[in-house]
Amino acid sequence: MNKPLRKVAVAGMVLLVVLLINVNYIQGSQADKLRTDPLNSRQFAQQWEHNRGPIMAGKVTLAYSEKIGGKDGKEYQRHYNQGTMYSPITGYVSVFSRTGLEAAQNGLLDGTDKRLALHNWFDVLVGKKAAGATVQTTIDPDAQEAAYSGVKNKTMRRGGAVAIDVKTGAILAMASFPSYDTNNVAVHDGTKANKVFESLTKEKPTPLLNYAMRETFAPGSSFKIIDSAAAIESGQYTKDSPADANRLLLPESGQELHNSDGDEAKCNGSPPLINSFAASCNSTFGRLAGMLGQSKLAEMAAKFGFNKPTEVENGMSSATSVYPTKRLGGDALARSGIGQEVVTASPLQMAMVAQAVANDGKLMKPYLVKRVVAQDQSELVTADPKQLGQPISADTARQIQEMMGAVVDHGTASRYLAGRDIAGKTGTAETGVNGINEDWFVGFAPRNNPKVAFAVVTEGPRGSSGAEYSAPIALRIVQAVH
Amino acid sequence: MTSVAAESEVQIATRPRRSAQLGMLVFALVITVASFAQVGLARDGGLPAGMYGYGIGLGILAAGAYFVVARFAPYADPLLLPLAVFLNGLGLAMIYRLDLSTSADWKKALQEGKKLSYIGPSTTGQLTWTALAMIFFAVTLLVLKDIKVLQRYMYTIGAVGLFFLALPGFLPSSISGALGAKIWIRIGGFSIQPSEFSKLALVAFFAGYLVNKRQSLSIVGKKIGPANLPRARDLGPILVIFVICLGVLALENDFGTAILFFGLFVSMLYVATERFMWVLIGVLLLACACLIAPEIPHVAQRIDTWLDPQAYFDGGCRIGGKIVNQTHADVCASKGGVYLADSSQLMFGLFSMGQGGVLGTGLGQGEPWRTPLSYSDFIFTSFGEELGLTGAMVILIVYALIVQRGMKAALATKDNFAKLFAGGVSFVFALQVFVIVGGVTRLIPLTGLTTPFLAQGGSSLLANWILIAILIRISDTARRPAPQPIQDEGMTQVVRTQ
Repeated sequence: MNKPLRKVAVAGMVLLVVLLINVNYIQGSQADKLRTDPLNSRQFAQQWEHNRGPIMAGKVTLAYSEKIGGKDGKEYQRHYNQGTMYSPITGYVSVFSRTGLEAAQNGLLDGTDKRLALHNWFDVLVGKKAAGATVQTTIDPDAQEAAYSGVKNKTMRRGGAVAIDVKTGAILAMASFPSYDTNNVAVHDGTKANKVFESLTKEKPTPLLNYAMRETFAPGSSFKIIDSAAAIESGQYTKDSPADANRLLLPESGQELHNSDGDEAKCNGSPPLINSFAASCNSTFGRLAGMLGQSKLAEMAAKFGFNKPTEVENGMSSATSVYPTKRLGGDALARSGIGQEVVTASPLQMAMVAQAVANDGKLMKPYLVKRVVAQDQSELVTADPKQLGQPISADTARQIQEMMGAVVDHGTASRYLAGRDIAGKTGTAETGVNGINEDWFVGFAPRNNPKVAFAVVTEGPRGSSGAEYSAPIALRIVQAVH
Repeated sequence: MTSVAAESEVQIATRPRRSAQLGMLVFALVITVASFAQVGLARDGGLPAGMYGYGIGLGILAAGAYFVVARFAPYADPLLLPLAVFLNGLGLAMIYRLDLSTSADWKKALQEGKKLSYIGPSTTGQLTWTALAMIFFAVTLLVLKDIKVLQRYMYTIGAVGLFFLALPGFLPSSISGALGAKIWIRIGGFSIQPSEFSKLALVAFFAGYLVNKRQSLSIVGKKIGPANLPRARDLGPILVIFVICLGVLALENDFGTAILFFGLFVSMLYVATERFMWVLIGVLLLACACLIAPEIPHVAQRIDTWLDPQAYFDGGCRIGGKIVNQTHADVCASKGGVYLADSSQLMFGLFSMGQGGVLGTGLGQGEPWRTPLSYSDFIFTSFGEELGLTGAMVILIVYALIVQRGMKAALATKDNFAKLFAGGVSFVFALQVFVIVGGVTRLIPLTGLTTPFLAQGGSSLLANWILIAILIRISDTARRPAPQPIQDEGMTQVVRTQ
């Protein structure tokens, strides 16, 4: 009976080897995933025990942990410096959840990431918790201040502003309004935290949403940048091509597409495209949309990043900006060309459009983390700028740059920005809600060798415009950037 | 049948290995006491008062066991006893760690007059059972001088095993039921799980029956296709008992044990008849069982939560064709949904293991108590959390060693009954570890079985210590040198027998 017995012995051994492999799979390769599983409440219960590393913007500390003793003498309180201004960037740690960079960089901040274990192998060996690493963001504190206070002081309801480094895609400022103090939700007491969250959720519009990237608005005339890009890329137009700017009657309803946003006097005849762009003639671009067709516009919008979320950091994704791909009628197509109808865009998306134009057509991936440094000063993560694509050629980009300069020189923004070394496109979209307008200014500065691209959206009363409401904020942001 | 060549392959150590055994036993005890010390240091910030008590208690028991083995089974495999003591001690340390009433905070609160209620892990209970189990171990070694005695009473043993297996199924649920299965017998504060003992009894019965009928089982009765089936009168009785077992277990909702019996039956039939056909038939039957099993609600729940535990976390509820998690039964009903199952225990166990990672949090420094039954069914994930992948692998390797030492004893012994018995219990031991550890680590659907030597529970400890005693007896017999003639008196030989 020994022959079959040996085989049974091998079978028994196989069972245990399979268990060994499975345990290795779970604890070796799946451990991180299990630890950060959203259903795993341990991570929130234990997080106060971690001496989380700070989050920095330049020399300014945005978030830090303070030892407060607590019931086991090893509790830490998370503090936020100007939490209201920086909430879209840092996010928070609470009893219930984590958001923003606190979530995206959690493993490195709380010291549980494997990369840190290598640096602190001795601590790990003796069972001490690894010290958290420092996350250095790409944010420029002065630009952030200019963006947040600018939007806060001007907008009636909601607003957002994003500034991006043209060459790298590094986010220099990301402001959202209304906002909330992240210190209020980082309390250890679950009932208290729950109350704060409940009242924040009830507020309309809720301050918990990051309006700079997690919400979309009608881009209005700022979408004409994408129309122009599609037109010039098609080869049928240059910035100087004559384009019909006369009154446009919509093909289906026969109604007129008003030039409410632009300068009526300049929108007639067949001026060069650059002039219609500067004056923001709806008639020109509504017509242009019809001639180019929906698929060309959709294609160009997608190349700039529309119709899919953009991931800024791990788990920090933008809301999807939309240019419709379902067939539009003639009227709707014309309106989509002026950023109305169902076209929506997040401030981050429009800043990306401006960035690609300013960077001679190369679209860079936006990011927030410049570097992560362990306590022993060794660099664990260094930002590696990535190109997402090239939606337009360098030549097209330069023509659009010039067109955006014309907007400031003698176009819709000249009243507020004349003489400034900045370029951009205004946008004003009526929301139909309480007579509120979405007021945009999307552009870059300086005009030669651009450094900063931006998009600012505020909500003003009926009659307000992007030039009046958002362009001055954009100017202050670019002036603040070091 | 057994060829002489095959037998002689097995190397048999014919000298006692007492010092090796003693050395490893001391090592196992040192690890246990160190574990207690670490729990105390981490949890209460000082060496625990209980450490000496539990350490000395376990030490005395181990010493007793060692002397019994050294005196009455000197040639036995030196590894089996230390391995069992190691696992038992480690289990005690984990239960001590999970047992709140052994913690300094708890005692302080009690002294301050705070009312605290907590039922669950009990270190003193487990130590008492350990003591009882090791006494049973010694008694088994003392009484069972020759394993063949069991063969003589095999029908009685088989009948008693079957009786106790079936008993909980016929008792009212208040006595036998808990957590969806009816597998206990509770009298007063005392509860036993008879299937643990029935398992051993039925191995003995199968081994005895198969050894007796080995030759006749090879006589071909019927031929169905390529399969040569034995005559009905040879296979019949064993088949009947097997089907009764499975029926009883289905009645009691004890599917873990059903898998054990199935594996036991197939492997022993294969070893006895040396015909691979039985394995094929077994696999075929298993495939059929896998098709039928999802029709049983209790099993279907386990399979669903195994396939997609996220969907059932903290209560899975089907509302309009979609399964929504974190919906308790009452909430589910109020929303007009159908409540399905809850996978949170499984998920908690996995989270626990994930928390441990490669090196673990350290004994007393994790939070394994978050998982329900962290001291019994889920004790393996508790070890995974506090000792990490490293500790979990050590435990699995120790299990593998026990299985292989058992198999080695089976190969070495010349007696066919002992051979079948040792082979059978060793394989079932491996299968049991596979089913419970595989269940809590989401390798296979979860079924409740005890984790041998580690999990809290008296029946399991008793049965497993008896199993070790029998393996030690078999290996002692196998490795004992052949009787030597002490005098050459021509045709007459005087032989020393024991």
